Amino acid sequence: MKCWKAALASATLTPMLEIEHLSLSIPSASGPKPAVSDVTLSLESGRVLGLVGESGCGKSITAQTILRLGEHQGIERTEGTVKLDGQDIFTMQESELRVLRGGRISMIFQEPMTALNPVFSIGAQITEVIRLHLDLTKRKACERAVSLLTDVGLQQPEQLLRQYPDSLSGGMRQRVLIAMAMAADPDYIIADEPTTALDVSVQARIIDLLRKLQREKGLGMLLVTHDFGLVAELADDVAVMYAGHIVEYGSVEAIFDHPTHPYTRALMDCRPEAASRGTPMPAIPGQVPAPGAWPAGCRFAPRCRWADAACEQPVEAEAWHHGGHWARCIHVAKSTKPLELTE
Amino acid sequence: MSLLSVKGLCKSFHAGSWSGKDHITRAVDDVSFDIEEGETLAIVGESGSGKSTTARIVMRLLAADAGRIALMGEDITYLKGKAMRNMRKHMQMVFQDPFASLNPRMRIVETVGEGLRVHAPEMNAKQRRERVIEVLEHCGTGVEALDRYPHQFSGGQRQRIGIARALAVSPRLLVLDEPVSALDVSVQAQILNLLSDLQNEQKLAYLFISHDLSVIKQVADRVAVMFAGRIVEQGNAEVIYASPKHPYTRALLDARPVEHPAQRKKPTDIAVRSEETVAKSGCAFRLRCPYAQEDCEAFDGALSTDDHAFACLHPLKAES
Ligand SMILES: Nc1ncnc2c1ncn2[C@@H]1O[C@H](COP(=O)(O)OP(=O)(O)OP(=O)(O)O)[C@@H](O)[C@H]1O
Ligand SMILES: Nc1ncnc2c1ncn2[C@@H]1O[C@H](COP(=O)(O)OP(=O)(O)OP(=O)(O)O)[C@@H](O)[C@H]1O
Ligand SMILES: [Mg+2]
Ligand SMILES: [Mg+2]
Repeated sequence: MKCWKAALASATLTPMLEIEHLSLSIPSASGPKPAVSDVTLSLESGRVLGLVGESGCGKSITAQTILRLGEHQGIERTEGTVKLDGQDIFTMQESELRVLRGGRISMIFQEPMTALNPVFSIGAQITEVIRLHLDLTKRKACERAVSLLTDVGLQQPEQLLRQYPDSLSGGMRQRVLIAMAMAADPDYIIADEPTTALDVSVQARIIDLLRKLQREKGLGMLLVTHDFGLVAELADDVAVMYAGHIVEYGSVEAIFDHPTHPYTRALMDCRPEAASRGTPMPAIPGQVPAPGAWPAGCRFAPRCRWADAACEQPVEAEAWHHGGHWARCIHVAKSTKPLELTE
Repeated sequence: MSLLSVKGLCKSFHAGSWSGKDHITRAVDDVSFDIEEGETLAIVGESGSGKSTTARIVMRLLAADAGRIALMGEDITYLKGKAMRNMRKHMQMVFQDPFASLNPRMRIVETVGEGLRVHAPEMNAKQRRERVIEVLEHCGTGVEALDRYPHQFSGGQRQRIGIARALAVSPRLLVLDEPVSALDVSVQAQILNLLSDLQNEQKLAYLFISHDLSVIKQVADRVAVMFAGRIVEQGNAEVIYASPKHPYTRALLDARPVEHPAQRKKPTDIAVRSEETVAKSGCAFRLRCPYAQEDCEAFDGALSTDDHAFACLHPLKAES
């Protein structure tokens, strides 16, 4: 029995969530507009992939598409696919998707305030999720709820089950949501700005908690954020997104020690931690172009201080690469010393 | 004479009638501070510590239960009608959420010019429009914005418009409640630079509220740390960052995310270490404080009177 499992495991390689050449469109008055183009990413179990970029770059709709959550809002896949251990999620039936969502892949959203239903007790909401995925009696489901709430560091879980969301602080609500996401022992977690709505001290505790759960359960996690601090705390790998493209990808050390794409560098430079008082902060002029209003060539070119005529041509994803670290930039690709762009 | 001088502000709310018991929240408790011309005082503290309530009292949007507010030497605590309108043009407010704080049905020219109607009634429509163009350009937004509506702008542009609206009447003091918290880092940097330029040009004073210590480090001359409605530490920003005296300030500084993955800390005990508890008597922080001793139960929370003021019986020693 054991040999058979081991043989199977080595045959199927590491379990993986793979996004391949994914392009998405959003609805608009003048018809669908492209919003994400040609995104290829893979998420291994036991690793945390940070997806960073400015507001409106397409991070959330990419993340939601993994569970096919954007469809009812008119977000359409125009190309590419998402595969879970080799199975294409776009071939799944609605019934299979219900098992997938919160079963093998769970999602944690930004707003702990709106993600819980105010009229049901915490106990009712958490046992509902448990019983949707696990064949448990009501009593067993309650026991599981108590152990999940304990796992996320909440005290007096039995009492908490009878409480309503209104009576909890933001940090406690986010813990409850994390407990719910863990209900069916998922393999992957998609966390979309999991700490943005929380204040610093609570944020630090939630970061600790996510790290602990991720390690103990060997979870694969997609961490969507615009906060490099969160990436520095949690991510193993980082994908930087700009205007629907992944513009740079690498290990967290590579991205922090050798940020290569001018966009990544610019973003890192304008973190307030990086600046010193009294000198103007290195802001990025202008703003992210809206979906559909992208330049034909490099999408960052209009805001890039190194841009020139060469940037008007489309750039392929791995124009520059070094081991597993790559950047979509024609200038770093051409330069023999790619990491030494100068003013 | 300070530009703004606030003494002993107190404000309680009755809350929670739906939860059965009517309890009182002391949202602001004996808060005092001064702001000089051209200076930035930042207020930092966790959610619910009373930052916004303090701002709203200073702006006279909310009446205090006790305390005094003096602007440019004049006591405005109880000013009414025309006298208050006259003072109000000297202090203006910028809110966190540029989406919620601009009237969606008003064109930008009307929104930004609104204050001028009240505070500069002598201006005709043409003069108002000119002034609006002037401040918008100053804030980095072009003339093409004038006849558009808020939803046609990005978050950063809306915040520029919010700042332009506040500046239109040439105030001396801006009260900024989380002005960059809803923005991307890149846009945040643009807005912080704008605020810094405006301050240098016009000697504006800022009361800058934020829960982000990295942002505050960029802008503040002095910092006031609030906890449970009280100021627990106040002083020069650099001094407080380098050697905080109050354990709560230390905890806030330590809670910041690391700057580089190599600095990751070991996971600590993840239990809700009385995450949001506030002691009802004595030092409000003592239940969470690693240095708390028995005498903290009887401490009245009074701030020391030094330049670097703190409210703690067992202050931290300066780090060598
Ligand atoms: N349901 C929708 N209908 C129409 N447009 C949408 C919808 N959802 C997202 N968009 C648009 O798609 C683009 C990408 O949005 P997305 O939410 O993925 O950005 P994001 O990178 O997550 O940004 P943020 O940091 O603000 O969350 C944006 O321009 C957004 O306005
Ligand atoms: N109108 C109100 N009625 C009842 N309670 C209130 C009211 N306004 C504020 N409070 C309470 O007063 C306390 C201080 O609130 P305040 O909004 O000033 O905090 P804050 O420091 O600005 O927090 P945040 O960082 O979340 O904005 C909180 O406990 C809050 O619940
Ligand atoms: Mg998003
Ligand atoms: Mg507030």
